[in-house]
Amino acid sequence: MNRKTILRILLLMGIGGVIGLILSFGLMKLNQYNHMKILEEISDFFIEYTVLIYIVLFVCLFLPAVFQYIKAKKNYDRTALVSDDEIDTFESKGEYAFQLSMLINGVFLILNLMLFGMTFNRTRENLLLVLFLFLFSSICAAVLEIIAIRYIQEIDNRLKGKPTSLKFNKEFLESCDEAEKFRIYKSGYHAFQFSRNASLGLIVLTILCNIVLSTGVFPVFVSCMIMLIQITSYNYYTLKTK
Amino acid sequence: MPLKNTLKIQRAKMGINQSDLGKLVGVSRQTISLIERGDYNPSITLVLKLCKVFNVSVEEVFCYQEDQENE
Repeated sequence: MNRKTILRILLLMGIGGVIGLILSFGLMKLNQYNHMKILEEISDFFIEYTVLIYIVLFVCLFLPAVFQYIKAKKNYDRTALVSDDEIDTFESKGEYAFQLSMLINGVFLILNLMLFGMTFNRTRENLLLVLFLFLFSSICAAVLEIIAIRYIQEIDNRLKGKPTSLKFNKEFLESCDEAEKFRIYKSGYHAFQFSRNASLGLIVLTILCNIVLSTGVFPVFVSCMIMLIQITSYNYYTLKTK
Repeated sequence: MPLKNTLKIQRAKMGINQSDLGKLVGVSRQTISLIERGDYNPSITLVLKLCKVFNVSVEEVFCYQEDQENE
């Protein structure tokens, strides 16, 4: 280990210490106020305005996802009318809009699930309406994803797999060519590295919250389980593909 | 990328577009485009398939050029 590496480790430790100190002081300051009351107020807000939040999510996320999908489709359709040199331009525009559409749709689905989990209460007044909105939103998101995948398979009939099948991921990956597989593996590895660091940050945050705000052991347990699953599954598949 | 190629020239000689060439060797049009631009180094299998389609030797389509930094 050379001097540069040691200095870098010391610098990182110093930065970590400063971040920890700021976070601890911030949380201690928050603890001075009645933070449980603030959390209860936030929870009450979500419960009171559940229907409105579902509608806002639908308008602000699902509709833009549909708009991006239509934009992607238009760009892909134009590739049939242009020369080889111009195809790349329209195709990259189409791909960008397509990925953006799928990203927004995914976020919409997760936020719907989160809202449902946070506001579900069997004794609430408009339970049936909330259940209907949750199911409707989830079905809309799933249908958009299925339609988008089928469209991609329609323009490139090499790509196999039924989007509604449990074996879809395997069949789709097997039908991809070598460059596509390379891209999937590369982005998968980067996503793993990023989510591992994010999980570590989440663990530190939940531990600090438990120490300073007494939020309980459950958030710490869940965040540690997420990281445990990530690391063990990665190593399992590394050994499996050896 | 140190791997240079004449894929575009060979394809023009045959009079086919990227999509047709992709179908002949079993890859997407995008992959052909990536190889032509030098953004992706194909596998040995794909290189051999391409050369078979063009009916030429590997050296006529692909050549390895050392980076100046590596020399």
